[in-house]
Amino acid sequence: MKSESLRGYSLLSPTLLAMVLGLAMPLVVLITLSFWIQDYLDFIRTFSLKNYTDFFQKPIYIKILFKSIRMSGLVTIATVLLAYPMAYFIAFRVKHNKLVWLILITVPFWTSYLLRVFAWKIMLGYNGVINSGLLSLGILSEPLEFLLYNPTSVVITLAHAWAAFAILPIYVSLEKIDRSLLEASRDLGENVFMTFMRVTLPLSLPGVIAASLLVFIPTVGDYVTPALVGGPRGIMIGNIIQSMFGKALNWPLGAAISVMSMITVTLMVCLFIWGTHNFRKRVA
Amino acid sequence: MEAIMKKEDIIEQLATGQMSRRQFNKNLMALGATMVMMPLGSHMTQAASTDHPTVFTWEGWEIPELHKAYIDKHGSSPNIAIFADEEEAFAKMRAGFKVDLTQPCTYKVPIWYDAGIILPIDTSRLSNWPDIITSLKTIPGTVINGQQYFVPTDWGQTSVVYRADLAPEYVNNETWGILWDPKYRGRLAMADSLIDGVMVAAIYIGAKNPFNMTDDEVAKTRAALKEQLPLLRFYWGSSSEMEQAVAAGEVVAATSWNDGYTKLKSEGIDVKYMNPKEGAMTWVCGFCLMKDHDPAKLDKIYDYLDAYMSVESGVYEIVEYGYGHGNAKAFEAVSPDKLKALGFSTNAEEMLASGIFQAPIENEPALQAMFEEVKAGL
Amino acid sequence: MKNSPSFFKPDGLLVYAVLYLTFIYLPVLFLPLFSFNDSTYITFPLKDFTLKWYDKMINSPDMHEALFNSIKVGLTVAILSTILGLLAAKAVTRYRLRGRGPLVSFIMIPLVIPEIILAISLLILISQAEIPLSLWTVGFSHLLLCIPFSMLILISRMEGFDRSLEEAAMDLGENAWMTFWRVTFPIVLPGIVASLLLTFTISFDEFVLAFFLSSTDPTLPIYIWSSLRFPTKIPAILALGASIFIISFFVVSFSEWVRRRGVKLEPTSRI
Repeated sequence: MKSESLRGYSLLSPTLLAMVLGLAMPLVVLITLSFWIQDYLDFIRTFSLKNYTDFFQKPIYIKILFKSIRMSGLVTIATVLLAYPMAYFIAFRVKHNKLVWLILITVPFWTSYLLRVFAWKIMLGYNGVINSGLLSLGILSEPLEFLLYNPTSVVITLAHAWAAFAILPIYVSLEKIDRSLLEASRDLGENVFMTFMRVTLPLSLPGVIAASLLVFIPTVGDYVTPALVGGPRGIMIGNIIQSMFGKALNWPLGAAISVMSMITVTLMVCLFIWGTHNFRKRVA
Repeated sequence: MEAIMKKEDIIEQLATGQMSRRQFNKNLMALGATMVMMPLGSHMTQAASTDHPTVFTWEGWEIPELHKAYIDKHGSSPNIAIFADEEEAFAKMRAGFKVDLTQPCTYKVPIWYDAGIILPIDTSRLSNWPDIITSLKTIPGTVINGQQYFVPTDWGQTSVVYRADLAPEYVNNETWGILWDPKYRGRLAMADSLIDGVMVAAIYIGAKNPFNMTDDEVAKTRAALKEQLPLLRFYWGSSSEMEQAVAAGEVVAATSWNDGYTKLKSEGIDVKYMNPKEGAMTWVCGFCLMKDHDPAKLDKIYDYLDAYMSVESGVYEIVEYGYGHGNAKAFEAVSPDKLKALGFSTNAEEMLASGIFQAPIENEPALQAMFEEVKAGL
Repeated sequence: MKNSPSFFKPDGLLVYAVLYLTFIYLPVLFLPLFSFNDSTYITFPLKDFTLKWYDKMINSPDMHEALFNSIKVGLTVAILSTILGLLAAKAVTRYRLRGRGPLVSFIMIPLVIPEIILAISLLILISQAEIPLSLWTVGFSHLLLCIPFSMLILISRMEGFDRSLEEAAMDLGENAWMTFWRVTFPIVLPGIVASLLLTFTISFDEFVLAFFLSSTDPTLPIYIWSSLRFPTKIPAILALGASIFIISFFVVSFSEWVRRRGVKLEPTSRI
């Protein structure tokens, strides 16, 4: 037992070392900063809860944090739901050149993110593909303005940008499923849908969870997409944090907002894992 | 590209199980070796230029054409590090990034001075200093305790660029007010910054000194920004974003620098650049000598400054970028017709005198927080 | 196809796959389109056909340098983070570790922590240690960011992995390395491929960490981000994006073609 733990740790140690080296300090900095106060260019280095009281008292931060979580939640649901059938297709239907399919899915994402945001502007913009198309078909007489520069366009752009992050983990876990289980289930007279619900879906759940986390967590803190396609009302918590460290020059408040946003995201993630865990137990 | 191909092949062979283990080990070793060598390679090229100073600047102002004399003298450009906004550059330097020269705009100089990161510049070491436009030498905030902390090299205007074909009623009535015109709801854009955005609102409400407002004026500015929010298509973060939208007709009017106007015009778009009755803003950028500079490189640092301030660089900047340059003689070297086409009056001093110089903003963090709240819909 | 368990109507799924690929590719395909358009501004209607942006792209050494910096960092990070992620995932799924929960959460922190904070604190740490900024420091920060991605993917692959397979191999006298090589590795291979692809993509696109932790050699996102100020530079960047896209597409197709030929010629060479 002890030697097993030891072996485990020795395998884990290089990763852990890199992480401790790179993370311990940022965490300490983050937490310490959040209890200091910005005074013009200096910090007042005495313990204070001012930033946290600011966070709870001024409506802006909580409002935007929840808006970001709602938007990321939408992005995650859309991305994972859309990606699942695709991953399923590659795992079960593609026979010989799976890797080609995987790379086919990743290739669009090697064309820099900023360029893809531009591409979405071309699609959704005032003179964009959708508007021009609808205008020339005579469906519209005036271009639609609501396609771009609002929270919806942020969700669409993000759902596109993170597609590969959802497909790959789901594919990986589907690929792991023992095919004989599926055949057994069918031999037992289960129909297609029931087999999927009782065998495939529960067994692929680790992948779905991984995909959801990989999409949800980073998108909550994204600030580039909202800044570029979000318009005046599309900003997210990442933009606020970014501005605290840049333009607004209030690192401690930025740190406190980050801590609160990290805590909230972690709670959401725990809730999600607990939920899927229960689901898995119920199905099993 | 070769690198990508290599990786693809290896994954490919691995995935299909074609590669023997020995082959895999070999490839792994080769990859490991290249991995180690590649970053080292770039390190070596960097090591070769350690005798050059490092200049931390905006993309576009680092090009060889703007410091040709330096290259002629020292064989190559200095080391260049790029930033996309001054606040991030400031955060990076405060966190420990050491450079020799930076290129901020005037309104940042007092804060950088207060932060203790800049040093006075010895203008007697700059042969082009006497030719610098006089009014630029003494912009408030850049001369501290009688010492010059800033060498002005680039300037331009912040005003409104608008589509004359789409908003013809403003052609003879140029005002910042177009950015609050409900007729163009959803077709307007503002810069996402204090200096080029919030200050516009301050000028619009008639603040006596937009850069040092009374509480009442701040409240009025906030109200104006709130009123404007539903009218805006977006706040622009990069000028190309704004120019794209104006070119497409998606946006009818936007705050812009004069180069944006020049570029739109040259693409054949029917735009005009306002000389608003409330006054346009003038921005001035230039160089600061950093406290962390390497004293051994001081001669080269001054050579770089001097090269940038030369008539030759100035002409390039005026003609190619549509910005103003600090060297008065550079304006004399460009034909009056060309200047007119670029939107400059032939007398740079006169043009500078007509605008509102962008100054350091009092209580900047509070104003920024206010701006964030407005953007959040509060 | 006959024996394959296809649960949906076969055509429905194929149609979906095609539609989905269209969704992923459609916006990206506009990059090549506009890279041939003779206008600085990326708007409809299209103007004349031109190759001048490609000419500009070929003649901008800064862009090439940024591109190669990004590829270097991306490859290094993808390989290292996958190796570290693999070791960690194995440790976590294979052995009963004391304190497993907190350890895994600790490794996942880079996912939650805002990048700007990671960037600034790492910069403080690195400058305190008097390590000069370079692509190495960018790479290290990307490694921190990528390990959680690798690990999550690989854990989901290894979870529920049948340990008895490894034990059987050990009983047959294989040493630990050979057991890993012959039993574990082939099973986790799809996870490894997915991890390599994802982490390369992350590093290749990452901006905030790269900005704070790079010195005088920019990565491609830094180059593009700072070029946004100049609309005249954007078409050349589109040309670059289009080229990356077309070349990777070509490389993938080519290697697939080589593989198929290889299979035909030497069917026994497969292990």
